[in-house]
Amino acid sequence: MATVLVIDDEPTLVQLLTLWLEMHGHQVLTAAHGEAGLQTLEQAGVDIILVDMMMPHMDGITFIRHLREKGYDQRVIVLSALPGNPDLEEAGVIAQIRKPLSARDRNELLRLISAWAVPHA
Amino acid sequence: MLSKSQPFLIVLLCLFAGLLALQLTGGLRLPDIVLQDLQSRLQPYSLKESKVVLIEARVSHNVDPAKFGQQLQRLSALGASNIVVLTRNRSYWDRFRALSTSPNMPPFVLPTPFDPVNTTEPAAQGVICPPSLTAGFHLQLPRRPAGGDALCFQHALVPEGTEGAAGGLWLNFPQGDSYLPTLSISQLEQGLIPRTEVTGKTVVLAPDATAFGSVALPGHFPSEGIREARWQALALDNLLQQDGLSQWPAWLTVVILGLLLVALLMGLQWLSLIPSLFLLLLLGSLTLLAGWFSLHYLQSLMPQSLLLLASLLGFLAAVQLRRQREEDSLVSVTDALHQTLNTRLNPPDFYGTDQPWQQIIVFVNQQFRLARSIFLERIPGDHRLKAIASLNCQITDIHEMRRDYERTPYSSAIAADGPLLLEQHYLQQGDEDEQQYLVPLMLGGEVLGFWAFSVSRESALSASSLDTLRQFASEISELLYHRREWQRSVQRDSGVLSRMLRFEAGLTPHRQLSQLVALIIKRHRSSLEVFNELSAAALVYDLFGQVVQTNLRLEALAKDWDMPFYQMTALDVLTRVCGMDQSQARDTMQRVTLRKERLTLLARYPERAEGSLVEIKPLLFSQNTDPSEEAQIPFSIQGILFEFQVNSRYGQLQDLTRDLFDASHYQIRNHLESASLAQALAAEQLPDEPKALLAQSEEQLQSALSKLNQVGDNLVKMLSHDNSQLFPLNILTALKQAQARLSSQVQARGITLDNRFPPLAPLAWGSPGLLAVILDDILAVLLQDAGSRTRLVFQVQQLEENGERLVRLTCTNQGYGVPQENLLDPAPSRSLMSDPLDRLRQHQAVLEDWQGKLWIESELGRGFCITLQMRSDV
Repeated sequence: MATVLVIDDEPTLVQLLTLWLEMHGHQVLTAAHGEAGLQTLEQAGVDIILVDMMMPHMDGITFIRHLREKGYDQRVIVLSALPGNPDLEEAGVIAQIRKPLSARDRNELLRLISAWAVPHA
Repeated sequence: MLSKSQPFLIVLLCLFAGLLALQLTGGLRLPDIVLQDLQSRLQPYSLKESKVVLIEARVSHNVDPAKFGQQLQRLSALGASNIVVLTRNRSYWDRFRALSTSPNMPPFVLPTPFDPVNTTEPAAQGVICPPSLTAGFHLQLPRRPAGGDALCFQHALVPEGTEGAAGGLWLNFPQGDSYLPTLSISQLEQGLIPRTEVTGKTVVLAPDATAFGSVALPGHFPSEGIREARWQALALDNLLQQDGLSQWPAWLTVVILGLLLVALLMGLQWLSLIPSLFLLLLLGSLTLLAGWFSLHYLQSLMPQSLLLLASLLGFLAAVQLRRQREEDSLVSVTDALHQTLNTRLNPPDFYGTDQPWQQIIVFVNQQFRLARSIFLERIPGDHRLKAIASLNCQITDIHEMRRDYERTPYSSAIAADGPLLLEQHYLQQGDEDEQQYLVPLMLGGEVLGFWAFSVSRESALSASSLDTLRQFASEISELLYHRREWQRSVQRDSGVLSRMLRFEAGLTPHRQLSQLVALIIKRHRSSLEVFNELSAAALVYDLFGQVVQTNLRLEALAKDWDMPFYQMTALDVLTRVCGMDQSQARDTMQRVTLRKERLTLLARYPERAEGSLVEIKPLLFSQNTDPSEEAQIPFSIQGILFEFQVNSRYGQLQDLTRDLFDASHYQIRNHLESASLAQALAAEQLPDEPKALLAQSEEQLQSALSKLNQVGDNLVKMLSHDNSQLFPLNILTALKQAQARLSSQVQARGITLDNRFPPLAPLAWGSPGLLAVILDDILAVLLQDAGSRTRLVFQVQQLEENGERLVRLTCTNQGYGVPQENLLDPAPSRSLMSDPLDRLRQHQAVLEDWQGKLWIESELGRGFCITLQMRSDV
């Protein structure tokens, strides 16, 4: 089991992702944008972060930059409708999955989360 | 052959012949002698010693020849080289003649005192030739007859050949009256003459000097003249001293005259009036100086009057010719300007028109919705008014008949100084609901006219409307006032007397030209204003890549972008602003100059200018341009216009697109994403059958999302200029436009266009300007080859090849065709770009740049099939 922080500005999508991940045995924390995500990180331990790119207040790239500046080393998976950005790999992003999530994408996502969750368990 | 186009030669020959004739006929002798007289007074050198001594009887003296013989012997003893006895007294002469035969007499010369022609007396020692009168002066001594004896006694005393050229010797008396030593016969008789006065000199004895008349001489001589005996002695001295003057040789006069005229007529063409006058004065002074020098140092009489007159006439001719040419040019320019300006829209000027009220009516009608309007003008110098123009009614519709502005309702309107609502009907036949107003048209207290109008009661005027009308009336008054003042000043300036006082009476072409130039300046200013007010930043280059004109917006852009457009060539702009390399930029320039293409490119500089477009257009000559003017300009292009659409509608559209994209596209996508995920979650919980249905529905949602993403990607590409120069184009629209351009040719030949288009317009990537050119050339090839009353088929298809979406346009005709091998090998005689088929071959490279294709197929007897394929991943 892993503790996953889902950061996205679309509440329905966040709820559905929470439901889906909880169905697969993971604990889920949520935030509506990057700034809220950083606050959540200060209060709770998180194993892996799923983050959208386009969000109000603080977008995904800025969130990742602040995350690394504050010394957090959590793995990050980017979920975005935008095409992949190679620069993000250097910032510790382990995968960039393009929306919409197909069944294969969802399986890949679960695999990545589980792979990270096992050593921590 | 001389013609009117060579006035130089005509004037030169006329002047030359006229002046020469005047000189040869002696018409210039008097001024020449007057000048010689003046110049001989300016003697530059000291007195010479005379070789002649005159001994004369100053009063009537009874000479005894017997005694006189003794005196002659005394003179001989004193060393006189020659003794000449001058007498006009017949009895004296007879006695002297008898004396000459006496023994022991020294030889002396006794000239015959008579007319040599009419006397039978021997004239072996010459005669006393009477001085000939020339222009009031006695300056010439007759010449010795060729090969004959001495004519004048002076000839007998000098070697042959020193008596002057043809026409005789011109005497020179530079030293004046005091030069010749003169003694009296009494002194001789009394033996009082010193030896030094006589030794080695020729003594002229004039025992009856008083019998000689007076002759006039120039220079330092008494104005009443001198005795002729004295003149004869002076003439003898001239010959002995060889001081006589000669005339300029005729050939030299002709050459100098010709050279002077040529130099003047050529040189004065380059100088304006004042420098020409200075040159004339300089030439005159030099001529006089040369005449003086020639007289005193070269002992030659220069034809000064001829040269002075030649200078003056040359100057006048040059000035007149130049003025005539300027006048001709002015008339020609004025005619050309008239012709040019008449071809353009030329509305009558408000100030100059005879009917200003019609313009005011139109002006008012454009601004206000009034039921009826009538304008009244004040009769000049009177307090009465006359109705002058009306709108939506007749001039005769005025009910009020007095038309006197010192009475009501006019006086009330003047007192109100604005629109006055009239209680009684001012206009006839008004509706009951109509409200009528009267507004004075005044400026500075002066009444210029009145404006009566009515409005329906429904649209009754508010206080602000009335104020607006008052302001409007004030503006009209000002217009009328200035027009009247302008017309007064024009009338004043155009009066004949006024023009004559200004010395402008005959300057009609100049006045016309100045009016035309004023009109041109006015138009130029308004064109410049229009140019400056363009929404695009505009930059005009000439064919040689130099900046010709810019507008204010471009100046602002240059400052904003820190881009020195003024120092950049068109090529520089393409490379720096559009991010092209040199080769691409040169190709682009060729397309604009040779193919006359209008291109739309994306500006890539600076980065913050994202979304700006550069339109490049050739500035072509209009149809009515003077053909001779056009022939001087290559490529038929005046210049190249660059238009930077920075804050244009395109930019606004981009911003709007981005906003819409941000606001709706991501939301829709997120909602679809949520729905897709929700379905996936639900499906995991359901039995197989509904699960399959949900999976199918989810696939559809996924497909919709993919397409939505693709649209987003393309928009992002477009907005970030990933496809420089390329835009999504509606190929059906472009094709229809090309067909419309050639519709007259199609109709004339009875050709049918068969368009087979899909219901939805497919978009393809390309450059709009160039696509139009390519389609034009495709149609041109098909039309050239097609038979009359045949069919051209245009088929547009969407297809997918190797995962790439494409749009294909297939164009076929029913024509004559060419063998396929000829398509690969163009005829060498055809010049580049001259033939649409050749141009299509050039376009193939363009299509490859667009990641598309263009291929041409043909078969003899069947016609052409041209296929255009473009990328369509839009």
